[in-house]
Amino acid sequence: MTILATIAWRSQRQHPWLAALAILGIALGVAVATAIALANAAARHAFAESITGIVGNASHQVVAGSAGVPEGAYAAIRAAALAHGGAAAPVVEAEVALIDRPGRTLRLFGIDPFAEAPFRASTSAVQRDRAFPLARLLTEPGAIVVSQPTAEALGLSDKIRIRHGTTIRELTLIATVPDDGNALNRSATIAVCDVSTAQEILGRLGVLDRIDLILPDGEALSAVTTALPSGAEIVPAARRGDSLRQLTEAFHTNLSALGLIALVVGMFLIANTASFAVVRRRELFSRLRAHGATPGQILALVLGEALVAGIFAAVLGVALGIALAHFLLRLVTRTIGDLYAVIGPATISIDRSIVLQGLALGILATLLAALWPALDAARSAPRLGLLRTVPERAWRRSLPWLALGGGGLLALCGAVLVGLPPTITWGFVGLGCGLIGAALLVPVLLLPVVSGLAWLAGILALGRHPLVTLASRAVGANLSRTGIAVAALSVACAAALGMTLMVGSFRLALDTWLATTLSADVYISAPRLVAARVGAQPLEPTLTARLLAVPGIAAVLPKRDAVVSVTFPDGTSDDVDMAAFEPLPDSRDAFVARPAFASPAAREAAWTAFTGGALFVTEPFATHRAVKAGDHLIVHTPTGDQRLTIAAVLVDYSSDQGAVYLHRERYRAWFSDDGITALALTAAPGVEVEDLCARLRLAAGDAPLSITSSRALKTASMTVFDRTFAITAVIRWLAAGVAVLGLIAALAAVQFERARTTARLRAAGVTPREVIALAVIECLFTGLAAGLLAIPIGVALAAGLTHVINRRSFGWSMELHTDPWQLVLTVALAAGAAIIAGLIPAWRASRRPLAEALHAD
Amino acid sequence: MNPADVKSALTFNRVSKSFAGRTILNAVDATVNPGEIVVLLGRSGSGKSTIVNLAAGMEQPDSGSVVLAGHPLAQVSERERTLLRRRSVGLVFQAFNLLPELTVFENVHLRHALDGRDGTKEVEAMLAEVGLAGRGGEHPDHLSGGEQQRVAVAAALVHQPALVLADEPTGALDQVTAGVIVDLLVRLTRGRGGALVFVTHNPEYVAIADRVWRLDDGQLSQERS
Repeated sequence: MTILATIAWRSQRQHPWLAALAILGIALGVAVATAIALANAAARHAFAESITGIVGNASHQVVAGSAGVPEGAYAAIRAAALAHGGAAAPVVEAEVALIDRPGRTLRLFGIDPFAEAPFRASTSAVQRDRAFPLARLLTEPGAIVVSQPTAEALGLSDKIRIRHGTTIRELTLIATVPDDGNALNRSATIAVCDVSTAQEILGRLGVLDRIDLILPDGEALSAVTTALPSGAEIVPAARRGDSLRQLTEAFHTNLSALGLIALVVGMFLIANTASFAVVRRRELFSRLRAHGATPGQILALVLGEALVAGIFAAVLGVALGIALAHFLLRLVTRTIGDLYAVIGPATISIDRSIVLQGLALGILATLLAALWPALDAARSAPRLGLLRTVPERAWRRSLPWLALGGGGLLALCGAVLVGLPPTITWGFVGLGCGLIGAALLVPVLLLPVVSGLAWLAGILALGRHPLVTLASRAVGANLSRTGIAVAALSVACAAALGMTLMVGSFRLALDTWLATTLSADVYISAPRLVAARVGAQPLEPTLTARLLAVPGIAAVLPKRDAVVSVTFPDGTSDDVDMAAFEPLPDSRDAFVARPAFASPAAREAAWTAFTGGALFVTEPFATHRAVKAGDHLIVHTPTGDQRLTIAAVLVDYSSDQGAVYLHRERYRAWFSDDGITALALTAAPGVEVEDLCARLRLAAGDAPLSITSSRALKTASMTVFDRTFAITAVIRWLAAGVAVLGLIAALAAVQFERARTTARLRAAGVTPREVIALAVIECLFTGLAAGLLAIPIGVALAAGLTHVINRRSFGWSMELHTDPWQLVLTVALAAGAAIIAGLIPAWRASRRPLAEALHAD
Repeated sequence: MNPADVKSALTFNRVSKSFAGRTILNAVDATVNPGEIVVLLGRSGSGKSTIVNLAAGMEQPDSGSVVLAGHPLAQVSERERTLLRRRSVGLVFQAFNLLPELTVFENVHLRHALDGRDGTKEVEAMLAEVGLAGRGGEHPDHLSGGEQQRVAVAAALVHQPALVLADEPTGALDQVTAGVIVDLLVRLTRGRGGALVFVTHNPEYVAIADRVWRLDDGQLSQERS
């Protein structure tokens, strides 16, 4: 071990708790980032496997929205594909709920076993295996096959009760196929059946959801295109997977960014610890310099320490991250399940690249954070080490540079947000610049804020107390020690405040929106598996008639949720969610446009256009599809393409994928579809809503309908919202935990170093209780300053998250609501954390034998 | 560098230095010859420590030049100044200037270690010379003030510097211990052919000097002892 390593090791050993806190802090930061990466990867993997298993080797697909492809067209399409060296296979599929396994689902996957071979290896295995009961699969009603792992995971028996929409059926598990490593078997919970079985169970007789195609060339594509029925189109198979993947990408990106906040706070913690370690050992470095150690050797010493700490922290962080990932994965998959799509069971696998990324992140973050303190140490003048005022003077000299750097980063934040393409990534880069820029300004603003607090204490007649005066001056005198700690605490508090305000604003906006839009009293639909409109099943007409015959209904608003194929102004096409409804005459106030209608006349004009066949689109739809009011969309319908105008963009928080609204009369005419997927009912005057719900449930009989009062629906919506943001709460508390650890380390270190001053004070007659009071007041000033400075940063961050990130990620716009209680809570939290952090060392200093303490001086 | 190889251990050519508008040194000319012992006298705040800092290359003059062991300090880089201080200068301070993180042996061995040289034998011999043989494994804070200063003397001389700068080395010691330290410092410096600048405000130490410098109002006056 070299002499410098010896010095580093022994000086760290003098304060092992300080080193341990720093290591723990950065480890927590790495843990959060790694856990999120692992959980995201696992969820993505499960999602991808679900898609891969379903899409298989198909190059193209014939689709026709919710209406489906007429089965009669299959023969001609297959013949065209085969004639050109291609292949075709029909698919009917849907997610069904397992009645005996609440909350679990199975994807019913209807195929033609004789056409499957070129497409999906696993499903075609049923044909290859001679012992396989193929005849039963083809002929027995409700016969299905699942993989061995799926059967075990779901605990499936021979008879399986499922629900699809309002239909309950019993399936027969005729065989299980062993796990052959195929994606279809490994992860997705898929039940394979004959296409006719699926049609019968799903109520899709005569219709195919899609026809998978393998088309070797453009000639084959042309040939198949000519065989297409009206309303159907050929799309590349990859598009479907891409669309599904894109659904959750913003969600994953947001989680990753939140994880990085914890790491940035951890970096501040390391910077603070390293900075303190330099300041504390200024005398040592000066002596080393006087003895002939070069600046490079001092730099190597400090960076070497950081490297060792970084390696420890990174290894510990990755280990903690793997443990934390299992917990986060449950939240991630639950949110994806709530909002986007049902995915198979996801498990954390230790991805080597993520582990290496976590290790590198921890080590590099530590080195980066320690670089400035290390350079500062290397600049130690050989003679000045004994003078305490010099580091403070040097620190104060650096304040203008900090102000310049902070201001520059804030300007860069503005430039990135305004000048660069409005992507989520650039949004986070901009906010990151803003957050770090604001953090650099914290030490600059600390002195004026503390002076203001001292002035306030003076106004409150406390300023004349010598302890208050001493404490307020101590904060300023120890700026080189406290500045970064306060910045770290401010950043963490600001991050927590920003996220809290954003979530609070979002919650308020959702609450207001629900109160506006849920204008009916009772809502009826088949229970959905996810929030997306995909797979919404029409109610049986007889059931609908039975429901509408219930006395006490004043008005009915029927709705049809469907998926339709649309061509956008840029020429691209995609399947989109559509809600077709017949609005009640007085329900137009429930539709809020963004930007708001300029006048009642404008609202009336938009409404008239909608009634006449124009579209409303939701905000997320407008954002993701880059369309606006006045644009035209081509909607592909079985009766031909319809070029429709967007009459208005509506505020809608029901899904981040967006949807188009169409008058149901038009939908019925163009799609020849009278189906109703949901009903909104208004109770007649004097009828209790709950009574009406009870009567409707009675009328529904065994049909598993969701019959909900608007109040219950609102509560359920808010529950899903809270569940969705549960993961952000976990992450922001982890980030706050990292900051509090850092603060404890920093303030405890400052108090520890002030032991000499404390001893002098005690020698002058200050009692142990007054020593503790002094530390508490000093920490209170520090904490209050950190909390107060966190408020503008947090509010700005909340504005960024609300108006930039939410908008870019999900397309939602909303007002920022600054809850004063949250601001007070932030200051109280910072002050409380600071006081707790300073108490232990102050107590120790007050208990230390005075003679020993003075001897140390 | 062997101390005998240089023409002068230290030369000040019209060196001036001010702090906060107050002139501490005003066009000072002075030379310390190899093997010579100079006692620098002056009141507190007269600029004695400034001369030490300038001589060790730890500060730069406002004007004039400092030549250390034949090297004009203004003409070499910061790194070269550091290496020159490491190899050609020994420092002894009132506050001992030992590193508490290191043992007695490691403190004395520090300059060799920084240079990547062994020097174990020299360190052990030096510890024996200052009366601390067998105590190399102890930490400085377990030693008395006199013992700590003996370690500092050993550390300042183990690498045979051309110039030893002792800034009030007896200021924190009682009279008897101070006498022991001064004797040690003079004996070991002379024994290794180095020069010694002994900074003090105590006129009694004039007795050890070949030459005496007096610093007053920024002016340096010299006299033979």
